[in-house]
Amino acid sequence: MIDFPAFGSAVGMLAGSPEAWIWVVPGLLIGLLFGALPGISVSMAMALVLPATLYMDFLPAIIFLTSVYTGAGFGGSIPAVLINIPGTSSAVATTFDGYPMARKGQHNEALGAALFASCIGVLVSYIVLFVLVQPLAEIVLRIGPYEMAAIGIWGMVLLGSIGGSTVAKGLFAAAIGVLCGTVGMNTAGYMRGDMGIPWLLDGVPTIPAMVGLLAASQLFALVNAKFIVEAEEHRTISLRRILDGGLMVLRHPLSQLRGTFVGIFIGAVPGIGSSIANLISYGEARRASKDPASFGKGNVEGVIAAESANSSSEGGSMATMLALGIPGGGATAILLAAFAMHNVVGGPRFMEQNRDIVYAIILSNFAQAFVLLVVGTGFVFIASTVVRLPLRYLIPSVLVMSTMGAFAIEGSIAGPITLFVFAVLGWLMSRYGFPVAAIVVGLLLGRLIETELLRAWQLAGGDPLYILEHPVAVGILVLMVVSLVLSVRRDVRRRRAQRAEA
Amino acid sequence: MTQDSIAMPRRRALLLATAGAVLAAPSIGRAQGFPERPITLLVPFATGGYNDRLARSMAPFLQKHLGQPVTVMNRPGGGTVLGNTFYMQQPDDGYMVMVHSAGPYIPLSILTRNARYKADDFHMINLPSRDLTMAACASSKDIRSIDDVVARLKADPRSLSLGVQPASADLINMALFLQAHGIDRSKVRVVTYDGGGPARTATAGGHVDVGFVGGEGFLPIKDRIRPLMLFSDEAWSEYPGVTLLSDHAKANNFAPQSVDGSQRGFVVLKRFVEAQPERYRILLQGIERATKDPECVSTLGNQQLSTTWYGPEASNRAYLSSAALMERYADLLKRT
Amino acid sequence: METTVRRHIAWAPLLLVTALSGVALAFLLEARGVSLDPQNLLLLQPTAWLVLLLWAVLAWGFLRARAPAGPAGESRADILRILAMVAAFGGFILALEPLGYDVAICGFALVGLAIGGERKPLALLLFPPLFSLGVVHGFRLLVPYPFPTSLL
Repeated sequence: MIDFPAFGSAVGMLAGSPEAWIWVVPGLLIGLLFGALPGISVSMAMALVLPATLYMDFLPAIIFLTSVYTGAGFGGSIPAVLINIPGTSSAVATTFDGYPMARKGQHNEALGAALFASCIGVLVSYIVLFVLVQPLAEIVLRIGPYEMAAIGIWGMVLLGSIGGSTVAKGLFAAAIGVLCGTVGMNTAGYMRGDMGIPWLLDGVPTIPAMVGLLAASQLFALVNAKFIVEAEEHRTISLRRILDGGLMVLRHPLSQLRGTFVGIFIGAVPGIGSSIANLISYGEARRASKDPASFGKGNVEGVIAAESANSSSEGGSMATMLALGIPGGGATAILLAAFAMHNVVGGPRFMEQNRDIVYAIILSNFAQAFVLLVVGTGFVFIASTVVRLPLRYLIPSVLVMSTMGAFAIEGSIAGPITLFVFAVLGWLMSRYGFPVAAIVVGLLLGRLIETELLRAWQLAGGDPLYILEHPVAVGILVLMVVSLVLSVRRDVRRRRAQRAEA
Repeated sequence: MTQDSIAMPRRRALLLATAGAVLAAPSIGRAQGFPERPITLLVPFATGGYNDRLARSMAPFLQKHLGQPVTVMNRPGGGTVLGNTFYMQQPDDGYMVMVHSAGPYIPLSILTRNARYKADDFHMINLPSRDLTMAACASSKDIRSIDDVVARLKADPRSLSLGVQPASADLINMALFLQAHGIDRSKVRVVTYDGGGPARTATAGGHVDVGFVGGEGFLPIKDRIRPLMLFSDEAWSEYPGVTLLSDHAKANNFAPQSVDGSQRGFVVLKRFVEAQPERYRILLQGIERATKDPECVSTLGNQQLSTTWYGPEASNRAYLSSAALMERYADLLKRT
Repeated sequence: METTVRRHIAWAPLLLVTALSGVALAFLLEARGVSLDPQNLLLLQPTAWLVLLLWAVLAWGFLRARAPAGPAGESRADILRILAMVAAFGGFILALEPLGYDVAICGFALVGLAIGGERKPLALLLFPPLFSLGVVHGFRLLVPYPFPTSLL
């Protein structure tokens, strides 16, 4: 399925145009910075640099934009690890284990693992894209409401009561999250729960709510602490330990690969993408682990699973964009706009006629993955100074930055208000042992499940047996049940063994 | 203080990025009092959509012909209610112009979201871009024509699933079409998508049998779909030979009725036009000159953005007639 | 009843789950008022029922709590400091539009520092204005939306 003459000409194209290369590092840096700022999304970063690409040639312009894309994909995990703020909605699961690692003084390792997992994820996803762009796109296009609803339910089952001190508290938190996710106008046009506030019709603003729940609530609880990392001797910033973290990825190849493939397929589905992949991959790693209880307390496998999935989503969504001309999200929509600005129409015909250009874009992304390793290490090294800042400065600063980010993503005071309401809710709930992460999972997955389940219901015309016409969805549900039964059986056995020992 | 240390490179990078587009000072100044400060284009949608791209691409040309810097501001949310309400609160000084999918969003926000303004509070300067509802199916489906769709639905309303956006012009068109053929909409499997993009993906992916959605967005994936009918009485050069609603209606003996899918362009308030006729004239002239500027026509043409000049009279007529039609069919929007 | 563990009612979490369940119930009633169509209630109604069911389970637990709720080893002053920070943050959000983003940021930075225990006058004098300057100008460049300011 590789067109070798086109491949050769792609190599020639890249080798012969140095201007295609000089934009990689600036692009990655811009992406890292924007991704690391809460509220500034990947697509906003790309929209802001888009005008500059008008004056470049086509290939450098696309390489510049994909560099921003790649950089921002990882950038979101930096604040996720350091201050529990998912810089983007696709770094939510990164906070679950990344931040506990940081609090234990393992911020170097956590960031190193996140970086390496991301780079490998990007690389593998583009290799898959390189070999299988057409079939991959076809598979992704076939994933409809039934399959998506099944994936959403799977995620809910895996993560529904994550991190609570009791199952009831976990479920309560998740159910509150799901209810928050159903506020506003649903996909069938019913408006409820908006309390007459116009902006609530679009639903609770997700990113401000998430940042409020995960980060701001955490910052309130830290008012009486001096530093994020309590022990002074752990507040080091060490290149060696960042690289050590990278090596941990190689020691957990299974988590890495599973995450990468979850990312390629789920992350590529138009409109849903990387945030769901990030959650599902984390949930799967936790379920498959021999020691699920260590997740959420700083298990590096959680970071690896989460980060490998969100970064490999990039390759998947590039596949639908290149092969079908369908943008999976804001970022690929802007890439298509950049195509249009250079008088190039993306889509199947573009793929057939310009295979060399497509290969050149993919090859350049291989290179970007390696460059990101270097640039990202330097960036992480500098960003880690956050752990040395006294919290009395950090708390007001981060609260202000989160507020501005919440404003930036909504464009109105709606963002900051949401941030505050959910910060207080998150602080109160975590104070009394309710898992805040479960609310976030409920919020993200609840909206997805409602939308897709509703469409499935509409498609079936109310007939539940209609699902039998969708074997993939049935397959996912069967897999889910089997894997759950297996892990429950394993748990029971382990408990029996423990009891026998005691 | 990391905030300060990282602020510099970010700022520099952004300056680099936006310098060419926005910050360049205007070269031609105008002698009149208006405009004497920068003009803002207000887009009631997020970045990246058609209106945002139109505003950003037009900005340099407007700048050239109005003699003041032109910046773009986004105020998305609430199906444009937030942007429209914000605009109503601004002073009538002509320093802010909307770039809007005025039809169908303004009338729809009044009918379905209880917005407090009226359709004729707004005045259209020019609506260069029109989009039409198109009925289409995935090219892998065995549906051959729109007559095929009608025949199957008449035989069994549950035989085909139809994808559409709720509270949209497409839904009105679909409902009118089913009504004309005497097909009971409540029996048909209607699947709703919140956005044109998802509705098109569902159509191209074959998740639904037939999609009713704006035809423009289908252009990049033309090869994967089979256009069945355009809700129009005029042929569209991008889709040659596709059945038109007018012809289909004539063949089936009913009066064709449809509303435009989207009418996008430059919008101000009627209040401003009445209070400041002189400033309005200057704005109108500037926008007309920029739209007709050959450089603008070719630059925007390359980005698949439309630069047709219809003028205020024709634009207002088109907008108001489609708003009136929507109001007439408002109860079709209520329930599927 | 056991004699070694003293049971008492955990008021704060009980109040929290009751309030949240109340909101959930109000939401359910409002949504049912909009329409009883399954397309409206498909996920919402079962979830709201689940919340109410869990409320009963949790409330029963909180009525017979074994240990005082909240993190251990927290003094009254600690709690007051957290509450002060929450209140300051709320005040900051409310002040954004009327006072302008610049003034609100500067004020909140000052109050935040003071609550956090910074007592050096130079730091209290310099950090808030410099920080607001950086944030306001930085975000002006980044964000395509305008935000009101009074001084900057």
